[in-house]
Amino acid sequence: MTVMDKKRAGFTFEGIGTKWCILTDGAPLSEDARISVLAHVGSFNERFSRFLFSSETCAFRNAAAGTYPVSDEFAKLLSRADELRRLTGGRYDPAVGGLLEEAGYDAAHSMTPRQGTAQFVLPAWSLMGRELTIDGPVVFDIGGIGKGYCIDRVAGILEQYGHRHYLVDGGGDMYGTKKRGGEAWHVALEYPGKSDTAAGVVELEDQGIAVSDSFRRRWDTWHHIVDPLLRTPIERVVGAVAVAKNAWTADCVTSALFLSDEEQRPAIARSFPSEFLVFRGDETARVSPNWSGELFLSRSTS
Amino acid sequence: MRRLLKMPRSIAIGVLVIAVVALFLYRFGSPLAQSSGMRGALQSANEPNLQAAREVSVVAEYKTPKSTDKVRFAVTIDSNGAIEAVRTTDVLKGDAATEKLQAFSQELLVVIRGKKLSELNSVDRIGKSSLTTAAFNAALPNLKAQL
Repeated sequence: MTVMDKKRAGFTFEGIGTKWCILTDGAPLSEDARISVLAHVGSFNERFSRFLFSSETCAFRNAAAGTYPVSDEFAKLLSRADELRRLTGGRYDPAVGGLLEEAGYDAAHSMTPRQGTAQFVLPAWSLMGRELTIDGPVVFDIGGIGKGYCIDRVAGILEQYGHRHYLVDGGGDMYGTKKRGGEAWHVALEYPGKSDTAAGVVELEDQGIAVSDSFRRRWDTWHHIVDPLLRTPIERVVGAVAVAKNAWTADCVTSALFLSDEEQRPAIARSFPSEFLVFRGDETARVSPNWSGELFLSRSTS
Repeated sequence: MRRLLKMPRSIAIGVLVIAVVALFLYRFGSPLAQSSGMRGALQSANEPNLQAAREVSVVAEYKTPKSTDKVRFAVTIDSNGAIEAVRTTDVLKGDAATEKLQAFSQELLVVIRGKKLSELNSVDRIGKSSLTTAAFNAALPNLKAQL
C-alpha cells in the first residue's frame, strides 16, 4: 500500500535508465513543459549513457593516447568528477567504465564477469578547460554524478515554464522547492535492502537529495559501485543519503561517501556542503553532525 | 571485556561510541524525540525535560598491542535534549583532539531500526536507489539459469 498522496499523481516517464516523477503543487505541467523535459532527458541519455557507443562517454573507447576537445557540458561533468577523484584519493573515477564492462555490466547486460577484471588498469586522464588528455582507450561512466546533474537541469526547465512549487524525482534522487503553502516536501528514506522499510524522513525545501545503495544492482559477486584501484565492489558501505543545495551536489556526495574513508569525509563536506547518512552493513549508520532529518533509531544498540 | 581490549583501535572506538550514544538515547530518549535537531522515534515519553544545555562525558580505557589509550567521549546536549556535538579527545594528551579522533567525532554512530512504510503518514515520495532498467532485470533470470 502506497503511503504517498494519491492526489499528486505527477508526470511520470522513463529516462536515463530509471523512472521519473514530477510533482507540482498548483498548475500541472503544460504539454510544452512536458515535451521540453522529455527532450532534455532523452538528449542527456544519448550524450552520456555508457550503454550507447555513440555517446560522448564512449567516444574514447578505441582512442589512442592524446588530447581531445570535449563539449562544455562533458567538461563540466569531468571537472566535477576530477574534484571527487582528488577528494577520494582516486577511488571515485569515471574512467571505471571499462572495469564495469569487464565485470559484466556492459551494454548487452551480459551480467557475466570476464577474466579481464583482474587485469584492468584504470586509464589515466586529465582535463584542462575543454581539453581532455588520455593515455589510451577509456570508457567513462558518470553514473555516480550524472543523474543529479540532469535532475537540476529538469528543475531549471520547470522554472522556465513558470513553475515554483515542484518536486523532481529522478528515480529516487530528487530536487524539491516548497509546496504552495510554504511546507516542505516529505521524503521517506528507503532502508538499504529493505524496500518496505523507511530509515527516516527528510523535509526538502529548495534542496536536493540523493539516495544510493548497493543492493539493487547486484549480480554474481558484483554490484555497480566498485573500487577501481582494488577492482572490487565496495562492501564496507551499503547505502548513503545526502541532502544539499541541489541534486547534483547531493549525488556527488553519496558517490564520494561510498568511495572514501572516514578521515576523508571532512574535506568532502567542506567542498560539497551537505548533511549525510552512511549505512554500514550491520544496521549502524554514521550521521553528519548537521543532520536535520528524522531517523527511526533503535533504543538499544547491543 | 577482554575481547574488547584486543580489538583494533578503530573498532574499539566504534564500540565505545555506540555505547555512549546508547547511554544517552536511553537516558534522554523522550527529549531527543521532541527536539528540532536529530530526532528519533523512541518510546519513552515520561522523562523530564532538560532545562539547560550541558555536557556529559565518559572516559574509556582500552589496550592495543602497543599501548594503553584513554579516550574521552564528550556529548553536548541542548536544553531540548538534542545532541549538539560529540567531541572525542585523547586523555593522555591533555584532552587534545588529535586529527584522527577529531575526524571520528564529527559523525555520530547510530543504530537505525527503521519503520514500515505503511506506518508513515503523509509522505510525498520515497528516496531510494534507482530502480534497475528492464534490460538489467531481464538479464538476471538468464544468468541464474546458467548457475
